[in-house]
Amino acid sequence: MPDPATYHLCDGIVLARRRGGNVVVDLQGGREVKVEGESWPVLESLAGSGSIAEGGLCDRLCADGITALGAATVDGVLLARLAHLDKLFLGTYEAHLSARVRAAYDKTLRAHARRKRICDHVGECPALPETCLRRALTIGDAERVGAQRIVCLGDDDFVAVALAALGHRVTVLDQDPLVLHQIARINEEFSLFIDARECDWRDPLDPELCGAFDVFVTDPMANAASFELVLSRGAALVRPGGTGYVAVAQASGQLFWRITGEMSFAPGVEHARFNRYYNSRLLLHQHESDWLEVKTDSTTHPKCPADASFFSADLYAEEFAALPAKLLALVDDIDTVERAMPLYLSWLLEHVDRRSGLGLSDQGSHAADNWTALWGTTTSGYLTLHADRECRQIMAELFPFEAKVDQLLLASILAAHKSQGDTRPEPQINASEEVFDLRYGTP
Amino acid sequence: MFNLRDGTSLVLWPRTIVAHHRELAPAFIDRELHAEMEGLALGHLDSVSSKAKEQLGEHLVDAPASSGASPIGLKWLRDLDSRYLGWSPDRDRAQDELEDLESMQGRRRLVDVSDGIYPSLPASTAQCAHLLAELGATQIYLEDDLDGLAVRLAVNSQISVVASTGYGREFLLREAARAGVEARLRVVETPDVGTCDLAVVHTGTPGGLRAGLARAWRATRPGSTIAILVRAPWDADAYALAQGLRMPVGAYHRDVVHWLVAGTGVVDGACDLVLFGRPESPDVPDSRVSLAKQRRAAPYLARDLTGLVLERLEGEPLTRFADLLGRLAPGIEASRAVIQRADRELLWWYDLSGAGLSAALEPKLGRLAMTLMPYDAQLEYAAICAAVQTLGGADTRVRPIRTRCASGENVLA
Repeated sequence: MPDPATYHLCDGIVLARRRGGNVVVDLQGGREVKVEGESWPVLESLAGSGSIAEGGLCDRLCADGITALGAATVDGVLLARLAHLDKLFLGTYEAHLSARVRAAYDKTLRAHARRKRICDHVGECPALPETCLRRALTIGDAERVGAQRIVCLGDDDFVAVALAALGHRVTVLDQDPLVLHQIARINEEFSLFIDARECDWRDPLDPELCGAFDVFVTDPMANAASFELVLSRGAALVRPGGTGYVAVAQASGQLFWRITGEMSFAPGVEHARFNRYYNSRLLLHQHESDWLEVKTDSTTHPKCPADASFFSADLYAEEFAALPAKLLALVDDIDTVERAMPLYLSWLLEHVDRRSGLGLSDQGSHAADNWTALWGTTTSGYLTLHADRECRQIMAELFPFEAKVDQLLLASILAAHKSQGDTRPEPQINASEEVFDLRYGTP
Repeated sequence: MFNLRDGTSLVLWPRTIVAHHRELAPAFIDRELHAEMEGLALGHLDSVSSKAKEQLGEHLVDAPASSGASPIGLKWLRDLDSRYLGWSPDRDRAQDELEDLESMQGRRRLVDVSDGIYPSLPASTAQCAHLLAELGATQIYLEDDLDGLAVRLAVNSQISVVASTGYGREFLLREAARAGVEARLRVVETPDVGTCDLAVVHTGTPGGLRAGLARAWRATRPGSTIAILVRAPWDADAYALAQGLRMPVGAYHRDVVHWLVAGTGVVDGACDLVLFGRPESPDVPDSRVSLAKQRRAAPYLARDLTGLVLERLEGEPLTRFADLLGRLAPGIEASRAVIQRADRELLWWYDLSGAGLSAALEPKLGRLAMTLMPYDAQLEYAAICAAVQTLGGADTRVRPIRTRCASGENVLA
């Protein structure tokens, strides 16, 4: 067996595990390559240690500009992109940071710039390095507040780096080998000492860790089971009177406070819209969350005892964030205003309903001189059509988004109202995870 | 002598005036009583009409005017400031400034939201003031200042500020005198030409932005800074306009300004503060924008509210919402339909101009999803306010709409 050669993923290459499959994202080339089969474990290995014996595959990947020989270092492309995103927020207060805090930020940024894999499929979206710094600053600089013993329940955000750089004694409990490996690298590069341990929090806790910390920090999925688990483990890990900081999606706040109440945590400071995240394309993520402080005392009791296992199938579901997607469409500059009248439009909807089995009912409409609105419920949601004859625009809303119905609806509107001009949709402008925004024929 | 009850504030909507108090039911006052309400808010009136008395009800008291901020309102503002911007690392340094702004906002008894400019959190104003003061401008032009930014900036600069109401004018002058900066703050109707080295403009509709920019252009000299508070969904249009005018981006600050939803205790989305250079070009932006072009820039917008109060979702909640929306909306109601389904209630509401919305309420989840289609920014604000007042409470959250563009580049996934 030859000695393994050392390769690394080239600068600007990020691995994304998505629900639709595994993807190599080439940030500089602006391309995304779907990866199947045995290549993925090799790539994941390269995102970690970088040492691998599979020379043939790596040579091919080298030829494709995905890997290169040599040990991984900080990715210059990621560093620049993340610094750019951070600057959008950091610029507001950067001038007032001390040199020590600034150095903590720089270390956190460099730690993130080593991160070459993002698991979108389990809801992993890393917090911006700038967010990590602010998280650490809510606890404070150890020179001012004293060195705290802090445990991070999971740390794919590398908050531990900012905390350790501010002088705290930090332990990370995470089950992802890649995160643990990265933290080991960061310890080495910055001469920090973050105690990173492989740990599945669903298992009983190591008794030595119970009550050993002043503060716990975590960014869990937004669902009841996940909150119960992290709050139970957090309560067991910190001493009575200890503090927890939890990232909570804004829609889940009521659920979170209900569960903390059931465990007799005392509510602390609330920081709304605090956490900002990025995705595998190195853009700001749609998701953002609050940073909520909870305090323990002698009455705080974990729902799941420290020596018991936790069982739940729902740990990775975002219970509240997920609204089914809706379609919003604009057909602009229509060329047949006379057919954008109530009767024609209701025929159009009838046609779509017959062909798609939409189950349109409870229909209503309002017709004015220059505009008409039609609406109705469908089997699973509702539909709205709005025609403005003065502006020569037709807009459609379908909730929830159903690809086949959408295609039929839009094809019908285009066939009736866009005999000329471009009928390809414009690039999505306001698209989010919950809105498919299609615009046709904008002059 | 009759005065507004301590803690009551008035909100001027396009077609009505609403009196709010944290412990009383809101009262609706005819818009024609505008001048009388301004007088009451200033504590100037010797007598009050019987109609005003009747409509204000418990919001009116036979007592001397209170000159300070209402403790209830002040606590509410401080809580929100702490919640949304309490993390700022330089917060301690600017604590006195922030308290001044909170007190100033707390003393404000009348807010005019009928022109599409809305009040902000005092902590947002403090951040803006700080970032703008760093520019070292000697003469600054501002429009429609609801937050006291002009008073704050007058500490270091000469200010010309436009106020859209008589109350706004009096309020700024009083606050300037209270802060000892009255010599450096002038309330003007139009800016003096070419005198300022900084102007502050809000994005509104594309037409509104162009008109605001035209005034800022006249007020400033080439080489000055024009600060634009950029808000979604108008961000792409604002950058396209700035690019067309060859206005370079000097600095960009994301999510700086958080709006208060008038009278509700809830905070909406955020604006970015973008500092553009004012080029040499003599071109003044054209303020005429067709409705079709305006709608093309933002044809529709989805807005969600979560954390609604479950007890308030019983009965016919969307009918109550539509009733209030009909009063607060800029246009007169033309049509509404409410449909009850097993798991949700649905509403379609349109005004005479054709602007309107669909709304889906899921009582079990405490969530309201609205789609403004076609989009109208003033209707959006009215709808959020009506939804919070009829269905929401202290824990209700408005899901923020964030700008996609930063300095003209798409940064949001």
